[in-house]
Amino acid sequence: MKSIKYLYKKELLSFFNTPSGYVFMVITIFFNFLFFFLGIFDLIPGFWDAQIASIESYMNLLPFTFILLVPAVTMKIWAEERKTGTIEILKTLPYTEFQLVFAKFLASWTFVSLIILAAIPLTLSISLMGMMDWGKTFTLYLGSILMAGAYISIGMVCSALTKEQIVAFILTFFISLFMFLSNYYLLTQHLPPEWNFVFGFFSISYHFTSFSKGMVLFSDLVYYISFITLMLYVNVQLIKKY
Amino acid sequence: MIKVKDLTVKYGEFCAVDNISFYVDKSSGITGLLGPNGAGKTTTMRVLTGYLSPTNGHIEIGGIPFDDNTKNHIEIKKRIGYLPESNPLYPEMLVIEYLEFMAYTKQLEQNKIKERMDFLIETLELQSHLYTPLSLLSKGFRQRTALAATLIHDPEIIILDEPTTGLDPNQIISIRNFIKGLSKEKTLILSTHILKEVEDVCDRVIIINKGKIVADRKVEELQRSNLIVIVAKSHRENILQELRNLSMVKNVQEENIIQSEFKRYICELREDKPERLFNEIKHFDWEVREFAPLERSLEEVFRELTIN
Repeated sequence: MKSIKYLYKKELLSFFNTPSGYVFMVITIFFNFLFFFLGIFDLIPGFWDAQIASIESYMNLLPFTFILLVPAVTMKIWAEERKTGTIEILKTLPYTEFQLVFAKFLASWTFVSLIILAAIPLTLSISLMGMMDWGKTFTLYLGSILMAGAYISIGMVCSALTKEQIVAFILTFFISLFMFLSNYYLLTQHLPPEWNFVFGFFSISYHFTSFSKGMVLFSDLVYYISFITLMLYVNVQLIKKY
Repeated sequence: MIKVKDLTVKYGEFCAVDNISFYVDKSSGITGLLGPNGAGKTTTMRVLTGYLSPTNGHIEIGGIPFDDNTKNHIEIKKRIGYLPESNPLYPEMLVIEYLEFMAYTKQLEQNKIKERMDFLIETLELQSHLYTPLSLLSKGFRQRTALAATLIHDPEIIILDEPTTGLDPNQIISIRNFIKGLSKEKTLILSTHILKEVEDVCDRVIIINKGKIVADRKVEELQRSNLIVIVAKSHRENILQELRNLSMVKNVQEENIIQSEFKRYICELREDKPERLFNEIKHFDWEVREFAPLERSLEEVFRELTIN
């Protein structure tokens, strides 16, 4: 971990050295807050209508947010390095491919986690209005951060496949959308019931369900960690082939 | 020390580097890797620095084999300073941030970072632009910043891919002088297609064409031809005839020199051994004013070796 500290720091700062990082942060937080208070039609009730001192509906918005935010965050990770040629500098530094991939993953995960944690002041304010279920609040944050990690790992693989950031964005968007919707009736209604189960099990959103109910299931933790590890492994193999 | 044996690199069916071998160390001076565009120079350098994996062959850097062992890869990369061809930099970083980043990531000892940075900033005259974003630097400053980053960890092996491309004449001279200064202590390979650069900077040259090494010699050896110019006169002997009679001489041409009794004789030798001819003509009763090998320009040599 010590050896990748400087790579991690450089990657994390790259989000804040350009306006795009701030733009992603502000837009995401603004719309999350907006939809949290006003709601989205009948899908997610607004905070004032629900009249419950809970952050749950805010956290339930995050999976939708990630589908747009994560591709924007991850599209440049490898595509830009390849397009500008800095990949040649990176790959000739005394690091293994895994260390390069892991440093970039951790930096992006930290950035998206900061956006998730931006809801802490909101959580504290709500807790003053009623009885907050702190256990559930904790699992909501934990689940959201793990889910973000899974989406980021997909985005990094897509970015490693192309030199064009826009192609990486579109690929990540559609794969993330598929991984999200495969748990929902909308996508699986025409499939046989046994396939429904398989699709659901591999869906990123399916494994968030228990976190949103205040539970931390070992199987969900294993799923997210395995999924991220697998994607990072694929990413390492792609980088080796450049 | 760089040892390359039977190196082959293929991109699919296309063979970019075809079974080349060479050895470079400090005693080689500056070694120039010369060749036309697409000859395989950059590919060779990318393999030496670990950016690309070879299809075949054996590479040893500083006595460590470049094999499948990850620890060896890391150790080799610590010893190499590499300046890529297109001089890529992170545009959002400041010059000072970039140098610090490279110093830390190349794992230079903490207590040496400041001293090394100060030395390179001063030597490469970067003081005025330390807080300028890399995206706003002129070509010359970009090149100097990239060179400082390449050398920040004081590597024992330096590999520079076309280090003076796009610079103005003053900048070219300044970078070349800097590179010449480095060669005293380092193993240095420099790739270029500028022949003047090879003549000015390199001690040895490896010419690559279509992925193969077509010449690997000292620069002066490469320029030497088997033509000798003799300016001489003799009242008693027919110099032209005597030269024709010598076994080591393949062909002789005689030229008159205006308003002089001396004549110029251009001798083509059968072997590149001018000392043998010199020893022979000492025995004649000739008055010799000049005896010199006729040097070919590097351009001529390059064309001869890389066309057809």
